Amino acid sequence: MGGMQSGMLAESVSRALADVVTTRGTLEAEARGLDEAAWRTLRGLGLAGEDAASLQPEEQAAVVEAVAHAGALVPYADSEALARFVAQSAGIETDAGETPALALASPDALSGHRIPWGRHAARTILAFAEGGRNFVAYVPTAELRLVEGANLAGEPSDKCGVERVTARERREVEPALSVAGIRRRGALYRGAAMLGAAARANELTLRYAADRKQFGKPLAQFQVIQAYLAQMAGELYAARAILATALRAGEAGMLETAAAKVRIGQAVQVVAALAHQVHGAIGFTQEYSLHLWTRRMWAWREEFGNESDWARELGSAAIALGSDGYWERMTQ
Amino acid sequence: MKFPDLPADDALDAACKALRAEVRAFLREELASGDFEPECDSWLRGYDPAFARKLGERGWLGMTWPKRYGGRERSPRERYVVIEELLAAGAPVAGHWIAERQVGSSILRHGTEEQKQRLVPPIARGESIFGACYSEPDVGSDLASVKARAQRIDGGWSISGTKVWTSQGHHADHLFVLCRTSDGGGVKQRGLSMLIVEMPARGLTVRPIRLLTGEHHFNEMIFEGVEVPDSMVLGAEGDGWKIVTSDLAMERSGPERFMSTVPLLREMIRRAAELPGDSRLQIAIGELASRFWALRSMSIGVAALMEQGREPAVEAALVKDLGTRFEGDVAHAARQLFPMIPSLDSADPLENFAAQSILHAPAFTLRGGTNEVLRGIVARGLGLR
Repeated sequence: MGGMQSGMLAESVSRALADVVTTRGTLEAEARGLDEAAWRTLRGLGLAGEDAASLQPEEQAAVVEAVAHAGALVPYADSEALARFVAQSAGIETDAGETPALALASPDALSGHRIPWGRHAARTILAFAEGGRNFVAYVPTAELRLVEGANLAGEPSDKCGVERVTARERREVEPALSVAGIRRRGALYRGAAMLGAAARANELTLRYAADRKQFGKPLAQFQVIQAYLAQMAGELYAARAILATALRAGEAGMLETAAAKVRIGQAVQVVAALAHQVHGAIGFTQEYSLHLWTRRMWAWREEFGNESDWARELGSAAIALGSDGYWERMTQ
Repeated sequence: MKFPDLPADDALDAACKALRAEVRAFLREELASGDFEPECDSWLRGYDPAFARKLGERGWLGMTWPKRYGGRERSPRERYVVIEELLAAGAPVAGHWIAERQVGSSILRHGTEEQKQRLVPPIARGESIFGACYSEPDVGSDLASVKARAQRIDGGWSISGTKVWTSQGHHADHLFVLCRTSDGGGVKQRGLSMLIVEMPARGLTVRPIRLLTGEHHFNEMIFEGVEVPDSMVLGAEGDGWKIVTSDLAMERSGPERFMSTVPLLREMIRRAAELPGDSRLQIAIGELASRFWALRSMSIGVAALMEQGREPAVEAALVKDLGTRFEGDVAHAARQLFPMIPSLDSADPLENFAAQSILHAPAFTLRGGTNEVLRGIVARGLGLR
């Protein structure tokens, strides 16, 4: 049942964005830090406000993946799936019209902290630990004195210019909303996003290999190229399989999420490299669209923990569980 | 390429959980009484007929087969549970492996009632060992080109030719032999048949093929007029190619394609506790664990697709390609992360498992379909060929 719902949601997102998102449009939007038309379209589908934040993780991941696949320069994952979800769960009200941002940082130690899409947020939700307890609060973003920046995908990544701010509406929250819990959720959604971008890069590559002829035949007929395309298919299958496992494990799935963020990070390394290799030089031009997705893959693997961070976490947990304990945990 | 929706099934989950507990309890007992030594690549190397019979007694062989042929009519996912527990423990499952994994199912799919009744129950009991005679000295991957011939004789066939890479051929009581029974009207594949040979057979010579470690698991099987009655042809004359390709698809799909070196990985995890705070070690183990977790997810997905009645040849090929490379990476990881020298003579399981794994690693990406051939299967599945 969840599967069908997710499928339908993803379909409607893809269809709606296909009409609105273009390579040229996205590039121009990077200068502004937002594709307003794409964002309006998503909100028009009802994917904003409480409804969006209340989607189950599997459905949410499907939407995030579809938005990534479309290459839309919009803050959906960060504002709806994360910031608004956290605010809502903590009992902090948000307007459907605002685009909240999220920072996993204490109101007393903000300096240098990067906030995805920060410049578009009237309010930034903070999640932090203090004295062994977990809290959520918000601050008016203007008080953060953000310095604008961008990640490799051209998405806003704005740096805090102050060290401390006064937190508003501070609420104590359950472990699921601890920094670790939210970070897990963020990593999971970045995994879904990377998968969407990787799938799109793969589609572009398959089409290019079929259409582009050299030495009298399509690239797809060369054995070396076929091996590359087979390898890409394998990485995508692995990524999709581990993401499904992590989604199924839910809040109890810290280790599954760790495995997913690591494995999907490894997968996008291969997929991005091979996509560019098969495309030849045209693939690394600005004019051709491939970079919209390879830059997204490269950007997102850094966010909410990179492969080393999560591998260290999974590895330490495995070692602490011991050989039998780890096997039991993995097969539970 | 389809990714299966694994529908929630509480009854199946509960059954799997209970089964897993049973298998673990059995393995704990066996290990405690010293009945077997864990090994890497145990499904190739661990020959133990007594162990096979114990598995058969517990109904853990041929689990998915119909009850009237000795099976228990359980699901592929339950079978998966048993297999992965045995492999994780490095248990000696080599004797019955080929028979249970693919031969039994092939007979059930293509055989006569008489063949099913006579040949399948002993496999389920762990009493029968089948050797697969497919490859030849001149024919490795390109099985359609096999040269071994079967001549028509009164009431049957006479096989002549040489087969290689028959694991447990020196212990087998029966052989599956892929041979040419006609020219197939000009189409190579159509002239192939699968014949079942009962051992010992007059005219058959078995010669060991030793691995670079000196181990004997594989054999050269030389057929000089080995006679086979009509009742021992599997399916119809000319069905050989169809039988062997679906046989190979089954061979490719299981967890043994990425778990051959899991006993080493588990030993690495165990020993890592002696090197606390070693960040490089934690990261390396985490990376390997991530790949393992993904492979397991993919492989269970293949089992689920098979449960849904599909034949996921592309998905199985992808699991094997990624899985066998993972096995090799585990093999070579330990030596860089721990102070040790890999050695088959070492009493230290870490050094021993590392040596077993390293020395066997070249085989991983070649056996059961080379990774290069598998990528060709995937390419075809993607519509590129």
